[in-house]
Amino acid sequence: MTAPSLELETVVDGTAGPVVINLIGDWKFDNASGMEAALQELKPPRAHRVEFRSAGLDHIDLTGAWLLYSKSLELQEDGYETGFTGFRDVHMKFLSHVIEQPVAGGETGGDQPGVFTSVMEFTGRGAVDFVRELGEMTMMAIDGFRRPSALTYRETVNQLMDVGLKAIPIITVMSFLIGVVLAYQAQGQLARLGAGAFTIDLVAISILREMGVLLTAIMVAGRSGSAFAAALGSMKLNEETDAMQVMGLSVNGTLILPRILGLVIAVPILTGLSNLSGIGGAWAVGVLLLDISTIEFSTRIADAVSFGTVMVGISKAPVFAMLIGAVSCLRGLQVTASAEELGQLTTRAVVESIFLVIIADAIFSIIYTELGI
Amino acid sequence: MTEPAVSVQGLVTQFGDHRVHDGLDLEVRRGEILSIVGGSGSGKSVLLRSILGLQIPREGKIEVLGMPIGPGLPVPHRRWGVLFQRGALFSGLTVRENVELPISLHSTMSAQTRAKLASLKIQMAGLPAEAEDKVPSELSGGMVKRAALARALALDPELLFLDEPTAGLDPIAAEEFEDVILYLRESLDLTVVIITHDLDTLYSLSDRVAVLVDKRARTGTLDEVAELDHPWVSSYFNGVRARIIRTGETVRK
Repeated sequence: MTAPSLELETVVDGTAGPVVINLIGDWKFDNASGMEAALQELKPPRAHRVEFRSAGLDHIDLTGAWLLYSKSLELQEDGYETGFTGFRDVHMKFLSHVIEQPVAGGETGGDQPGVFTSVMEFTGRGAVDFVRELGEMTMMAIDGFRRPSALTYRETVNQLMDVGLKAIPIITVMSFLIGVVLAYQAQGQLARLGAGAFTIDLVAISILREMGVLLTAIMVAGRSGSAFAAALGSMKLNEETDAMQVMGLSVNGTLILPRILGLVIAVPILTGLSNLSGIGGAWAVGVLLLDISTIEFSTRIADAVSFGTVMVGISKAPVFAMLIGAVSCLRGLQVTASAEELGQLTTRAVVESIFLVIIADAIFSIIYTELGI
Repeated sequence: MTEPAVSVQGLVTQFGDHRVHDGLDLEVRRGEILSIVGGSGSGKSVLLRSILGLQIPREGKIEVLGMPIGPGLPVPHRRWGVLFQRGALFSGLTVRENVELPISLHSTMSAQTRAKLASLKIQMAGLPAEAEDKVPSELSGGMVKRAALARALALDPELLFLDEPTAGLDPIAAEEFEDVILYLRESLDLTVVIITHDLDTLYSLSDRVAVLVDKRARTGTLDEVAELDHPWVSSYFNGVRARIIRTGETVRK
């Protein structure tokens, strides 16, 4: 394919001869930026008439013809007369037809979205599928990483807003309340043993190690897991994922990776906030109801909690995020036939996300205990 | 450039125990409009999905524009356009953004030119300019199809696939849509593959017809296909509706 260019032919023929511009090379869609540049540079000398000729032209398609046509309209506005010689009539005729006769605002009604014939083919996948699915998830993530595009980043930012920023209010309020409940109940029980002073230790440690991250993960699984599965599922039903594949847009890179990345970034941050407001709840009970001073509260916390305690909780967050993201996206993509199936798989996405998070938490618990952290 | 636009050889597709295609052959010539018809469940959409590489066949060879189709192989993304049955417009994007997306994927042209080119395609598909900034949910069924056609045409494809282009449209909208396709085809040398149920579409657009019966495709001109000795074919082509359309063709044109 030869690069497109323009050649200005100077006809030194007295005064009013036309300026002839020869097209050279391939004027096709693939060379769009080359054609743009060539036309941009074109500054015909002052003349009455400009004529485009197809002498050196290899190929021209509609995009090429259109760019040329637009330029000629521009030139006409500047007071030139323009003409085309040797071009396929059909392109120019077509363009003049389309451009000069704007469509009359004809609303064409008739709206009957097809009712999906519900074929339930993919119910009841056995546990055998699990390994294959694990493989699929890994492939999805790897493929997405291999070909990141500008769209991937844009979508990741969108997802961060959705799964992160918008989840902050509900997660902080919930954690605060759980902090209140924990402190209140622990105080009641521990006081009977004469160990009321350890209430703060107990609440702080349980929130930082377990409750904060677990509550966050469960809330995220409910909020975003269902959103992912439902969004991807309806995109599949609407054939949007097919359309993406057909035009060469990576489903993994534009739909899956941004969602998983968004979660992996957002969940640790949400966990941190959840921890803070959980402790805040405990503080509220201690200071307002149990007559513990803020100073006393902080000293106890500082004694009971180490950097390790905080990290135990936070370190689980990205793992939980990945589990939620992978399961929800996979379930969403498994929708093939009907709206009913979409509902079922969305439910499964949430239930399985929460289940996997709790299993993973148990495994972490064992590992950290064995390691003595 | 003499190879066929699409060639399918010995296609076998099977879901579980259910065999949809069994040794199906199909050839689409350059520059023609070929319609694929067949009863419900005869595998029209599956055939299209196989040609597009969205469905991996159990056996058989598929080539599109001289490129073999299969997992891991390069795909002629740039050279084909597809109008999906339900439009498959990206629901989060406006009509213009939908049309711009394939352009931005395959070209480095400036954003300004891209937007203008998208507008041109939208106009070509017969949508009014005020529809450009609407999102798909604000469009009527007919407008969704037109917007999807504009997106399918975004890259100046050589080969256009239309899956049920007129299904769900009222007869007037359907006829307008057919006119747009005919017009585009005449001016742009497109090869068009249409999947359809609609007899009107079949008679007004097709050069040749492929009928899917008995898990295979039988291809020919309308008259040849209509003469085939097969119960589904005869009831489809010789039913009352078909006769009216055939004999009344001069009225329609």
